[in-house]
Amino acid sequence: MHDRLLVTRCKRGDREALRRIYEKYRDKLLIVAIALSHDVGVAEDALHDVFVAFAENLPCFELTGSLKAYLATCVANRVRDLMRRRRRATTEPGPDPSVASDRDEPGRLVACNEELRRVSAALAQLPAEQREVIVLRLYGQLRFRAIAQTTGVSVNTVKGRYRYGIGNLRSMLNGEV
Amino acid sequence: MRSQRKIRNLFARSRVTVDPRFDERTMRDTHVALDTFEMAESASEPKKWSITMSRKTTKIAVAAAILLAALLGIHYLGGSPDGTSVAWANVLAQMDAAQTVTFTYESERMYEGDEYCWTKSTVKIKEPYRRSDGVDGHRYSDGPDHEETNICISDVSRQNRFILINPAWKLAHYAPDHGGNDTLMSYDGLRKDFRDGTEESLGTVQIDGREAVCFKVSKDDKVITVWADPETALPLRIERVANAGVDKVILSDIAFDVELSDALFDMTPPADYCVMNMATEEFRVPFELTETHLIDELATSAKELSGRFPTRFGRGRPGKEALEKSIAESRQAVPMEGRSTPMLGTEFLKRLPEDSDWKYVGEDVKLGDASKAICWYKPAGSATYRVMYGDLSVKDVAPEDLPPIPWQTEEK
Repeated sequence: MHDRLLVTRCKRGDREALRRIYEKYRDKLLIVAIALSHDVGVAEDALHDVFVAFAENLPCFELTGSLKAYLATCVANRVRDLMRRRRRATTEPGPDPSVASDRDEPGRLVACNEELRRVSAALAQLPAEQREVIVLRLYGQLRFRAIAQTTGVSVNTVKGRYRYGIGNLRSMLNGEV
Repeated sequence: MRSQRKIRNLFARSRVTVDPRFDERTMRDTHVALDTFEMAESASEPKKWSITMSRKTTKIAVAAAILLAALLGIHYLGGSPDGTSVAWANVLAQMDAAQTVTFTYESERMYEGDEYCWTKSTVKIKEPYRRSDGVDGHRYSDGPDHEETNICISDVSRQNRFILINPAWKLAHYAPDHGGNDTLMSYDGLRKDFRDGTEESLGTVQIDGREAVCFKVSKDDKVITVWADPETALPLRIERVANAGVDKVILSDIAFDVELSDALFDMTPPADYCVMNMATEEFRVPFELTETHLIDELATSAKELSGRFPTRFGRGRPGKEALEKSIAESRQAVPMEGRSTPMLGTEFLKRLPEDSDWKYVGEDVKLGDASKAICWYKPAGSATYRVMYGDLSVKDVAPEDLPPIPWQTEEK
């Protein structure tokens, strides 16, 4: 069903429509969050928080573009916040690719397949800003301009980060992809 | 470009497995959030959340179309990779040249846990309009099939101005922009997405009792298979598969340059239809909303729950336990087909005056039980309340004689 219709129905109190939005985009958004954070725990929290915030603000929410892109942007923002908080709390410099935090840990409710582990491990070695642009562009299918808006930098900067990021990934994944 | 494609393919093969407890926790908390807002809604002015996505889509699409048309001129000079007479470029040229197109559109998508969505419709295209008449279906892993018959019309020249008409419920949803959907845009998507795809000939085959040339066109993780008339290069059938076979779309019975009346693309909602404007959220009801609409919606809700009234109906018993019960009930209920018209009851409630003191206490009351009240409200200017009972009867009751609210009685 058309996303805009689902949103309209949600706003009129149809909770089934909210569930359909959640089920439609859950996996895609989890993959975005895992690819960005290389941490299943952060991804679970980010998706949960984004949908709770979405529901809180739904009655006055206006969809004027792609719902998927909108939710992917929200997930990216939330992952950024959660990673920042976690770094502050643990004084870790960032996601450590040697730490397999995407592994099936006890208590975790989301598990990744091998491809996602590989891609998130490779992305974890990139600077956060390059990682974000690549994930939002290649998986979230956001336009560079939309990524620039959400990250607060110019379109040219976003394109530059994307180019450097792809170059770095290419050498990291050389022979694997 | 190649690296990007490889990385994109790696993403495309990425999957997650989600424990149902995660879904339950997230959905429970989203419903709590929604409840919290609904309770606070009357007390405070809502803050405005909006996202403005790029509105230059149309301009870019036009630019892309011009560019692609130029590229096609170059590509068209080629031919089939294996030397047969008809290639994808020839088919594309026919598709581009057609003034009108009609086809049957069928799609299916499998989700985890046997959840399944499908669409079957007839699509008609007469630039700049697209129209689809058909059925959208959905099956949950833990519920029955649901189907909704709709007519969708979109005007792509005006930022996808859009109307969705449900004749069964005399209900229309209208949007002045951003209304393109998968069914309406499927044909445009094929023309655009696979223009520079990799082509592989599958030779000459029989389809629907006639001879056709067949070839595959691949782009990223998506593949289409095309059957075309060997003489005219007109496509007979196109199948599109994506996401490792999870998404499937079939276009068949394709006909070009068919006479299509302009009336088919009239986007004016019928005068006797309820119309939701999705941009302004104004809901036009062409008749007076009455208590009967509320009673009908209450009855439908009870019937969906095997003859007992739901835990909550807009309002109801507060607390986490009641909320979780209400969520579980929503899974049992028929989600879509029965939800368009019954919303008129909700609309009736929304339009009650602020001092109507609407209360819902129908949790678990059996449909037909005349001894138990399920809800009440005070009409504008009335000294008495209208109390509705489990048998859907209504009585005028003085404020001092109102039934007790069960959870308040239990607290005492």
